[in-house]
Amino acid sequence: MVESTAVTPAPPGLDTGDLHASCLVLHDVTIAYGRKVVLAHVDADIPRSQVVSIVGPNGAGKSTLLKAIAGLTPIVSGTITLFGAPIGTMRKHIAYVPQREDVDWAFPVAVRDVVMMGRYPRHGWLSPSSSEDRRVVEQAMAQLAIDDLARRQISQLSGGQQRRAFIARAIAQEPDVILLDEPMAGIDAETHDRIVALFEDWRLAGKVVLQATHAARHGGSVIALRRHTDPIHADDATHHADEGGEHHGIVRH
Amino acid sequence: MASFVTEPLTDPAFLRGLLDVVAVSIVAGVIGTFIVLRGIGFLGDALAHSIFPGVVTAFLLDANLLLGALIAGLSTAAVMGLLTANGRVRDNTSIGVVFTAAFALGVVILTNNRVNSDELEGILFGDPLAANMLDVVMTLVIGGGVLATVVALRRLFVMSSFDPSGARAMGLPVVAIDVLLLVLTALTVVIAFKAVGNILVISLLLTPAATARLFTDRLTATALLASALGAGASVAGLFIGYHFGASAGGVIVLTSTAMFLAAWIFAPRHGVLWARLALRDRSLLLREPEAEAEVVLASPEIQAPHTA
Repeated sequence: MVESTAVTPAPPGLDTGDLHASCLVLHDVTIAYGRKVVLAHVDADIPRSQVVSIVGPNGAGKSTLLKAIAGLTPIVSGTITLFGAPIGTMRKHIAYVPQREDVDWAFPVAVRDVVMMGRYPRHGWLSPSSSEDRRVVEQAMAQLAIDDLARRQISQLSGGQQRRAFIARAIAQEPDVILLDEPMAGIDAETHDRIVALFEDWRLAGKVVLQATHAARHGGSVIALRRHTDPIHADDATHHADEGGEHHGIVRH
Repeated sequence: MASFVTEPLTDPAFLRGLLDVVAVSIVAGVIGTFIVLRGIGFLGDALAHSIFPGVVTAFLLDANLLLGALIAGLSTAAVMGLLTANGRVRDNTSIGVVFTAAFALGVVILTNNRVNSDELEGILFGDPLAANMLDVVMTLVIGGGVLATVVALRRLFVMSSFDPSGARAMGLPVVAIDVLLLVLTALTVVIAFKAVGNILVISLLLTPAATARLFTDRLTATALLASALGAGASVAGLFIGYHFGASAGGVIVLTSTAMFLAAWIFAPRHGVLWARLALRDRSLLLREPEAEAEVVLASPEIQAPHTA
């Protein structure tokens, strides 16, 4: 079904050699909208080969944390680094799959165009696509089983197919870090299974996958967020740890 | 009938006007497509009106009107960029307030000075036949520059309209790209307003693009069709205006709007009539219909008697 890309001896990006070395590091990060502080003093140290679920109730800042890492929300203090370099200088190593609501689905673009957008940061926004670009795009579409939809307009696809097109775009970016905002929301079972399989491929290839989600993925790491106004459940952390394996990256408010 | 077409063509002023409006329409169709897709038609309208004080001032100073429009248009685009830099690009209310005031400023400047009403009419309602050679050259140079910029940077405009969050995550300066689109809009408005007038100019950008959108789901096709429709309406408006002594700008806009209404009703797939007819197409039921999907499983208690 899914062609495995698991065997990638040297993951792209900075060659740190050791797959367990620090990759994505958040140090004392505070995020605010105007004067309203959403998250304060967030610390996390995420090594390669991780699938991390950012979980928590609505309004706890899951999307906000993801957007801060993606560079969409400015951080008011602290640092976010990738391979030791400021995240702002590492955009080419990061793929971001936005929430459904952030996209203009009526825009006239074909599925292949959407996936090709993932190649623009790499080959430059003004230069024509190379045969290598087209090869990567075709392969990414095949991996998500949307190659037969390549010429269809994105507006004509189902929600699950649209999600797959965006994840194919993330593959085409050949990133080291993949950020996904609610990737499993409102999709069909087949799309869900393909995404889960792809997460495993990415993990085995030494990449970091971060998803904001309501349901933590089994076997992965968890960053749990909560609102101050919510009652504290003493077993919250252990609960997530039981569900998601090792408890990773503690968030203090 | 032949003289309807050939007679005006012997008039050099008509030929200049024809060249001018066709060139303007082509540029306006392409820029209009991006404005419609970005959903900032209202900004374009406000931008068009806010060049009025610049034009009026240039007129009173006896300077080139295009120059006055150019200065007013570019500074307005810059102010809009500042106003919308907080990410709320579609903050229509404050834009509406600020740029109606700009138009009012133009009116006040004008009423403080005695102006020939014909000349005022030219600014407000346009007169393509008044274009001189310098105007035509400016149209071709500015219009060519606008077109070249849009074609070269089309991926940036597409990406930041379609998926602004994804674009920013890729490192694209989405706000700057929006401002650039406003600047290109300002330049297009500047070369277009002499033909159809300041009040009607936005129609030249938006109407053909909105019409084209009803016919196609593809970006390039939309832009090309918008240019063709706009040019067609302009040519028709120019000839009709010439023969019947009507305002060419007014006829151009009415022709363009008629095209839109016709498309809205008759366009395949997106037209109102098409949707109605498709609903009533009983011929589908006469042959064996080939559906895209089928029910493969249902619980016994809800199965219809004849399938059970």
